[in-house]
Amino acid sequence: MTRQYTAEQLIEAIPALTPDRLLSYVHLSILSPVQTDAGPAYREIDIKRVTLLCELTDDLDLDDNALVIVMSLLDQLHGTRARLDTVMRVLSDEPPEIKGRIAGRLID
Amino acid sequence: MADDPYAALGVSKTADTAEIKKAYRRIARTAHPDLHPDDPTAEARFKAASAAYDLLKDPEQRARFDRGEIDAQGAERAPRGYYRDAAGGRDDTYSTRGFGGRQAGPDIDPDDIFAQFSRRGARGNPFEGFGGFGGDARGGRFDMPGQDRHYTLQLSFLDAVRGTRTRITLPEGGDLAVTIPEGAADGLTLRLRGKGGPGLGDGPPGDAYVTLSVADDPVFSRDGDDIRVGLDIAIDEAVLGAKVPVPTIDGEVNVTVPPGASSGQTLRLRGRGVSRRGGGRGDQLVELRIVSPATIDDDLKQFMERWRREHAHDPRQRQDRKRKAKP
Repeated sequence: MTRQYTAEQLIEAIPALTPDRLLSYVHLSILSPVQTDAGPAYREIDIKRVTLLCELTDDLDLDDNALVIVMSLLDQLHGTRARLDTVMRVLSDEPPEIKGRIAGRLID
Repeated sequence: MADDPYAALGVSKTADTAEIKKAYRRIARTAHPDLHPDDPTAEARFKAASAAYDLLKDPEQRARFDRGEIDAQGAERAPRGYYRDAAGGRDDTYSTRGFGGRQAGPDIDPDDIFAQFSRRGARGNPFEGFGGFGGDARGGRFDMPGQDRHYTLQLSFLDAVRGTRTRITLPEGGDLAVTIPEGAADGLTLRLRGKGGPGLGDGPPGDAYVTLSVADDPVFSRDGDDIRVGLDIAIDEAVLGAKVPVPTIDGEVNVTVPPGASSGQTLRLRGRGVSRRGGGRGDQLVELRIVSPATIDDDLKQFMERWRREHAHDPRQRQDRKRKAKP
């Protein structure tokens, strides 16, 4: 279990974050707190994500629509990268002849 | 002092050393408290400017500030960390990074796994596989599949192990029923087909992905399919053996502590662990811990003194033998 933060602690930790803004990010489904019996909770990864969201909002002037699209693309990119990492890790455990054959096909 | 030394001096971030010096001198001239004894704000302005100048006049310090390594006071700043450091990792519940995992079932068709990774797969390009931008775009018709939604749900240890039905709150209001399968592990992601955002036109709705976060339990912990608990026993129970109640995930059961039990000894309760996929259950492992009475009364003390005189016993001898046996 990683450390968790309440909405108040999150707002405290991120200077650019306001309660309204937090609500808006959650409504747009680009931020998803952990649902606990004690209400919504945020993790370290959410602090970093909200920091990024605030910077996209303030520094790049992205509106809600653009923010949703950018985050969707970013999440797809990270998902794809993680899957590719998994594939590479699995392949690296294969015997040399299989690795050689696959490497050969890749540069074809 | 202000957090932005450039603002304190009224210069741009690209100002060169000469400009910075000039700006500082101008403020020093107009704000030095000794030159403006009747201006109450002068001291604050002068202090801010001289602190800013101290930082910026040294090119090396200035570069470190620009890189965010130190703050305006010159104090080391913790590296801020970027989203990409955490994205795609274990806690990233926003991206879809698995290959179907638990949902794939025991008979996995390799082509299904590869299809998830290919552009033609269902999860790849949302515009492929159902007619793309269907209909006549000029006629105002536009089909697009709904967004996938990602949720994280925290569960108690017992709810996760036993399985349960619960609901998650949706950001737009309302809720969604989720069935937690028996034996759900921390980090498991459930896919609820068609429970994501609504599609446009004839586009199908997206899927909802619910990642489980299992809270620690004060009594139970999990080791694969096995459940671990610690069990405190009294000295007499350890020596003589006993039947002692022990909590399991199904409720209390009695366990037989064998005579001559030691701390650290583990008893196995078969079939009392977590349900396995495809049937069967793991075991519960009960680790014994001998606990002395809070106060040692005279009876116990006298008995132990007599026992020690007549039955000397050194449990460390065994340890020593083991150590010597090792090269």
